[in-house]
Amino acid sequence: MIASLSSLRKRRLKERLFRGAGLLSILLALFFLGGILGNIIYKGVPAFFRTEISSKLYPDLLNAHARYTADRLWIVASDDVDMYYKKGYADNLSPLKIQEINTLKEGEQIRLAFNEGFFTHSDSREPELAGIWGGLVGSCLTLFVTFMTAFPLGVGTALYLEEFAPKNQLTHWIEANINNLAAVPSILFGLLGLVLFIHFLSLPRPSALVAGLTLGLMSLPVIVVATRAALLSVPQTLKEAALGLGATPLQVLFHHVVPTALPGIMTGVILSLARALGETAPLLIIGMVAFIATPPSHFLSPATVLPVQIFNWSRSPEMGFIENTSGAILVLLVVLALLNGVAVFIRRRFERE
Amino acid sequence: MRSLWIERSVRWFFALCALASIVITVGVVVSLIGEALRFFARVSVFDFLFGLTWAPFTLPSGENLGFGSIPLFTGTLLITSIAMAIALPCGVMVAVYLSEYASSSTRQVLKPLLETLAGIPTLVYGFFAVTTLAPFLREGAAFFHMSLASESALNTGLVMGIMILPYMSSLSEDALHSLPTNLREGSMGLGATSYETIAKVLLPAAFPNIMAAFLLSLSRAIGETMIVVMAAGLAANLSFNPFEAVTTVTVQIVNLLTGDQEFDNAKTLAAFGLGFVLFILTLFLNILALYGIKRYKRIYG
Repeated sequence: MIASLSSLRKRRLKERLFRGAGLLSILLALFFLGGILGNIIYKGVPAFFRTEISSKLYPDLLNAHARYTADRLWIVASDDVDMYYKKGYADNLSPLKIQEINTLKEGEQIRLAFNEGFFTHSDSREPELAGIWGGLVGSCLTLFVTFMTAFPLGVGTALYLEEFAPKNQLTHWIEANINNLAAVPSILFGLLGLVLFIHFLSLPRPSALVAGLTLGLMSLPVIVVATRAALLSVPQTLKEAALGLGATPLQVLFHHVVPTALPGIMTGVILSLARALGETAPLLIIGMVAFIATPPSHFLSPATVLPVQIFNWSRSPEMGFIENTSGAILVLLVVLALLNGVAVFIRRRFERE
Repeated sequence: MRSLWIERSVRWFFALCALASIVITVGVVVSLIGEALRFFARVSVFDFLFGLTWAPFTLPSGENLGFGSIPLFTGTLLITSIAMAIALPCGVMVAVYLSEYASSSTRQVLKPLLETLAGIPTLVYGFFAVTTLAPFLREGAAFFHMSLASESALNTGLVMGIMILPYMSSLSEDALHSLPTNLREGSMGLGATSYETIAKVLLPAAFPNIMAAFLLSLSRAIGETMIVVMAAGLAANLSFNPFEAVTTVTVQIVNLLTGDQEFDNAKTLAAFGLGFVLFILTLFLNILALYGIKRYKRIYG
């Protein structure tokens, strides 16, 4: 009796320990999620503000008819002053300068203002002037090329394999190949892009076109796999009913199968584009690491994308660039969250059982 | 007649799409093999696969200093081992908790959070590893009077493990989820506790699928680039000490190709040699996970 009781206690203890281990693992994951996001927000939000120093205007010296709205002009401070004013980091400032800044503080001649330059400027060697506009434009152009190549090709391939192709050894082999390709490390698509687009076709190197095509190669198998899954979930009875009513195979496809599978296809496409947007490794391989201070004007002009700009900033020694890196990551994460939100919305809103 | 013509051309259009996809698939392999062969024409396969020194330079005299990739593969092995040592147990336990213990409302909160963790670009993980975790670990090591390299394998592997965790847990959860309820009911009916049901019935039944999840996660860890480029070292140390800095295959591919990109020197081509081996390795793991495991799968229900 006593022996069985103690064994029951042992079993219950094991049960509790096991459950605790599960909870602990989840807490570990959540701890890191919170750590990463909290850290980025904590370091990144100050990047949206900049330190400015005022200089008084002299009305009696200015043209009397010129219209000016303020009695003083605010000018962007240097990054060292910025870091001192925001965080008290004084290593790069002489005591004299610190004294000057403190005088400015007393006279309310120094302030934190919204840093619109962070969103409207392109890259710069100086952290206080650098912005993400160039990277954003580059990312948009790149993603457009990716979408225009991977979407039609991927959906077309999936439609062919799922709806038209004879089910034989060859198509089975092709399917297996595409499944495998979806799991190939992204860096290898960079090697492919390097050989194909730069070495073989001699396209200009750090351009949105080459980046978009390379990411398109990467997204293609993912889109094929997602589209096929969406097409597979369309019930067979739907097709048979439409065929039975005299619809041609093509009518069945475009009037019934594709509309039913569309939410699933769109979700897959958006998620693969989100992945392409955050991707850096293949772009480093195709040589997209140059410092580019102007936003790209067309698909062939030298471009950079947001993740590459983040990578470049993260390697800069200046304190200001750490802040900028976190700020740019924050913007990237917000865009990714929006894309994922759209995908979830489409899935919830349109997908039927 | 007209509709027949349309029908046929649409079919051809889709067939062309499929053909293009296949050409791309084959293109990856052919271009990798082609450039890798050019590399192996300059450096012998044996030296590359079994050499112990990695110094990818060719002297003006034409002599190669060292293209032995062993230190890169041991470095990759060390970092991925640390990563999988975290991702495997934690991933399986997260899956067990979510699928067997958590109430559906808890699951609805936890799953999107884990998906968020999976959706963070690896670049961000790398940045976190360098700017936050590395200084923290170094201070921790200093407290215990140990020296920890700032680009230590421990730091890199830890962050990579966290990155892999949601992937591992979601695949394992699918594996547990696909088991029929009567397995659980049968075990519970015989008086087993939840722990006994999970450890002695469910996990063994789901083992082939969890093994597949492990292999797919491992393949992803081996091919992961940005975390290691940012947080791991550049010097090829032949070391299994997690406190030291090691380099990986992907770090070296990036390192070899960012700089001069002439296609006719062994240094650039070495990247393709490494890429080719990486491709074969990950392909092998994926095939093993997707098809090899099938053999051991049992059908329940």
